[in-house]
Amino acid sequence: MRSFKEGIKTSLPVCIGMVSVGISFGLSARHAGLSVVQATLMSMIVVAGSSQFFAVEMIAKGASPLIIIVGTFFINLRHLVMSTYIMNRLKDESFIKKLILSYVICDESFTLFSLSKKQEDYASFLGGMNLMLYTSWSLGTLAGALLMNVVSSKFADALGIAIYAAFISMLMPSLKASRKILLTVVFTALVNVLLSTIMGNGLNIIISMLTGAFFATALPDERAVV
Amino acid sequence: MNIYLLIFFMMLVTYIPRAFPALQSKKRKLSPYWERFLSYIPYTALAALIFPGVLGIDPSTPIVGLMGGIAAIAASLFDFPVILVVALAVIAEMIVYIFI
Repeated sequence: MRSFKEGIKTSLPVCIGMVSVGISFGLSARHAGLSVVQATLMSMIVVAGSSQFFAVEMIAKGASPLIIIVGTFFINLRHLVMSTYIMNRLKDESFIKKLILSYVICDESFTLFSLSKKQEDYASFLGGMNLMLYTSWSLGTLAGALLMNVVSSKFADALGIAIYAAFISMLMPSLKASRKILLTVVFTALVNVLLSTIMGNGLNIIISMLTGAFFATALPDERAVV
Repeated sequence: MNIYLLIFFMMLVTYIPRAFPALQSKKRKLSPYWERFLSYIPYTALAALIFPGVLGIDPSTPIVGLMGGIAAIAASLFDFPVILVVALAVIAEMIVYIFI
């Protein structure tokens, strides 16, 4: 119980961020044509921010569902690495407990979990964190989706920028911290600008993001961040 | 497109990699190469989603997206919270609409 409470406490600062990104997602999803229920269910069932933004952006572009599902798989494949790390610490827990706890593994929970100090009970600690992060994400989305009901249609059109502003704001801290990521992002953007002239429907986005990741992996590691 | 079916399949392809390590009793690691490769995907996905899409918000007037994007970059350079970055980008866009 103490670890559970500790998990809740540790997650609080991040929850504020989850609510605000959730609001942006709710707005973007409605703008792309999803209903309040669809937007909220997507957050409650998929629970993976960047792929959800990706999905609604692709829905708005008229991409095929197959492209969206393949893109989602690649965007979220990094959770495999995070889950491997987390499960190594939970290896004495029951199988069912591990299956439930793995549902909400995300960038935020992984970062908090891996940076936290030693806990008596890692499973309860992660459970407390997951509960708070999941609730913030879902309620934020619901709030954003409902907000769309009270704004005018002209203003709603202007909200097309919301998704891009959210993307830029998610990317910026890493661009400031790492030249390698900056270079990778510029490279990927250029590849996508070129590809988007010859193909559409999101295929260009999948190919660009994979090309960009191969490019980054081939680059030498940074010694120190200046 | 059936959104509910899409949500279900998105959940499936997201949950399988999340749950996969729980199935394994022994410690197992991905090769360092693929681990690094996967760690870059979120950045490259965002990059590909932003450019050139941001210019197409109002396809007849790319300046609308351009100004909104610049406002978002400026606001996030100052480490403003996401919700404020979004608000400022929308305001910048509204201003462009007033002048054109």
